[in-house]
Amino acid sequence: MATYILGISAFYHDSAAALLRDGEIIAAAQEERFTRKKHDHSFPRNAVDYCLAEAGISPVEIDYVAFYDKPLTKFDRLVQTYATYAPKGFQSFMQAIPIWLRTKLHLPSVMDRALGGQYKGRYLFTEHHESHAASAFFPSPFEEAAIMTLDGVGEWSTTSLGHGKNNRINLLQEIRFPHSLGLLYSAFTYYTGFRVNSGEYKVMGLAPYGKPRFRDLIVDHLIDIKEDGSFWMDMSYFNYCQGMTMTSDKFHRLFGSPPRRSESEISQREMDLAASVQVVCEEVMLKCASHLHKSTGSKNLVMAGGVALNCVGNGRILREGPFENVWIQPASGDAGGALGAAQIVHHHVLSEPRVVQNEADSMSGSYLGPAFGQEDIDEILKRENAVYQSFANDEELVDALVPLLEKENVVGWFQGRMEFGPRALGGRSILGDARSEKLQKVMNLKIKFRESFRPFAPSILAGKAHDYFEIPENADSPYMLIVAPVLESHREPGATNTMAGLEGLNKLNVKRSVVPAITHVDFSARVQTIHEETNPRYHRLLTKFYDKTASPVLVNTSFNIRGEPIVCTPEDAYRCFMGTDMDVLVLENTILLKSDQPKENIPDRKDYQSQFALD
Amino acid sequence: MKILLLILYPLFILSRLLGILTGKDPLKHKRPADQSSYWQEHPPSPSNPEAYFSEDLPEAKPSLLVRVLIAISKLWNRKSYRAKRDNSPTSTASDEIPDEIYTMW
Repeated sequence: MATYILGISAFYHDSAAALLRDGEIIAAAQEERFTRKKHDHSFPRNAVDYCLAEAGISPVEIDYVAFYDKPLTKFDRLVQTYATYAPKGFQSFMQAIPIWLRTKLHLPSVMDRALGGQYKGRYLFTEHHESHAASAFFPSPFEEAAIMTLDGVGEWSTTSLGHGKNNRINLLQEIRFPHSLGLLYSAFTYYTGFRVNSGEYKVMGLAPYGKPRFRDLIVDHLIDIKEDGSFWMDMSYFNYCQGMTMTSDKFHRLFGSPPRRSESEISQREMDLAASVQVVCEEVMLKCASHLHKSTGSKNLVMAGGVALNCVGNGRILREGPFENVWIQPASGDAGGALGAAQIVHHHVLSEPRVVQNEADSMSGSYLGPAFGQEDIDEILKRENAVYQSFANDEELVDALVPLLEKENVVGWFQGRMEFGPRALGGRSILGDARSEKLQKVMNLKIKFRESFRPFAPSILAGKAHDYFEIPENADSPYMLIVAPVLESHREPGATNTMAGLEGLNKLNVKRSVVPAITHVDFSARVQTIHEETNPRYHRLLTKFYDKTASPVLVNTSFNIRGEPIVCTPEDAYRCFMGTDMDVLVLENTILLKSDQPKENIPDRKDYQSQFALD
Repeated sequence: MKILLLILYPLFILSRLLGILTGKDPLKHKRPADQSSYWQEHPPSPSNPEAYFSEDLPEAKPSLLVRVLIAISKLWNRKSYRAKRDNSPTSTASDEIPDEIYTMW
């Protein structure tokens, strides 16, 4: 009989569930996709239901349920922190402790209730960074690897280094709270006026517009970085241990002003701050990687934790070494902890061996969420009175779609299983022609309704990536977690000089390369390589597009608007399509044109946007 | 519960004072002098699978404050939870708590 292990992450951010059957990843999904509440941290009931449905089992058939951290250890950290700062931190104490006393100290009961009392086994609890490490190593394509996990905080660890071999992982060294690279980055996210936990991408995207002129101020005052990548932070500049904000008055005095107000104009100063913290973050990541390489001697590196979503830092580790191979868990944030916790049970508790499959990872392209059949889609479209055209097979669909992309249409692309992790990888994506000069602006302002400075990522046929980007020939980036510069040969002649004379967002007006829609102002791009084995239909589309245009690159951004979780169902996709200026929607084997849709299906745009809190 | 916590809070202040008097620095606020590395050794992964059934680390020694709070929590939640599926929201945070702070709790 098969053994089912359910992994759960919940109650912090990005709740998720993942299910293993005899060690194989059957399903994994974030709760936000079902509840439509971004970063939903409630118990992932819908995600659990989905995982069980995918396996065709009920809760009574689950053999083990694993939670992704050790709640009592985390509680100990919280209590010690309050005891260290008292009487400062009183307000925080009065808000945090009741949550713990009512709920978080009773997780087995809470999970029992959520599973309807049907699960009869005991619950397992893995350490937070151990869960991240497991999610990085066990699904990776390596028999052995060095492991690096970096995030805000788990129980006490904020950064850990370890080693994995066969079916065992061992964490070797750690940096403990409150000294945290993730929280340092979040402090700057907060200070530059963005929302912590979702604005970190914006800081990373803003960094290339600025100069790292605050770098020395940061390393002289905020963080002491040793040669081995370890660090200590001066907590007098921060307020997150005892207060309700990230930074202290001393921090504000050091940088000369209070935090930027959310949604106010972004100045060159914020861009320079972003550039500075990004440089520091990269410096720590590179030094940690180098130290880990020396201490383990491994040629392979695997990474997870929220900071491992810093794809600019990841790109530098890949290019500058010292590791030959790098693999990053696509759900590197807390969601991925659900998967890691389940895998620890499989390998450490049940001592099951680990099988590495022919250099391929076991994430199935991270397409681990729900899929919808053509019948479901037809039913929904008929109910909406939508006008659509169906195609008999992929070939016909792709033939019809390529000319639409060539005409600079923006295409909603919904097919196959939904992605697990924060990136849309061609299952729930918005696509466009990367050669278009107008697309970045159109997509940011009229489709995504987000800040104009934000860059878009390219999808490129695997095997062609090194023709366009400074990426090693043998390296893949299937999960869009590596940033690499566009090759000089594809850059627009004279663009570097023109850009040098411009400041801030003015740089956006310069055509930078032959694929301007995905070339950031520093000529970088967050690359996703497309592989036939994991996403055959998307691969076919790109291949056809390449045959027709000689360009193997498409813009790929997540299928959502600002503040909205990535669409999950065909209904979500149709609503998003109708609520934005998207031109075309592909739902499995059907194509819908916006111009054909009934006018009464177009929602009030403000109403649509107001459903989602700005991130 | 809030009144109970108010009564309890002076223990935290006392703990802080004791910490100052004994020179304890669990959060490493003071920069360690003459240290070439800030890495700390991580305890090895448990070799005994039973350790994974615990909500705490094997080597953990909960402080008095933690034990008092856990006792209060148990008293507060005496009723059995083994019940029918409860579909009420299990979100634990109110919208007033900033994400950046909640994420550390």
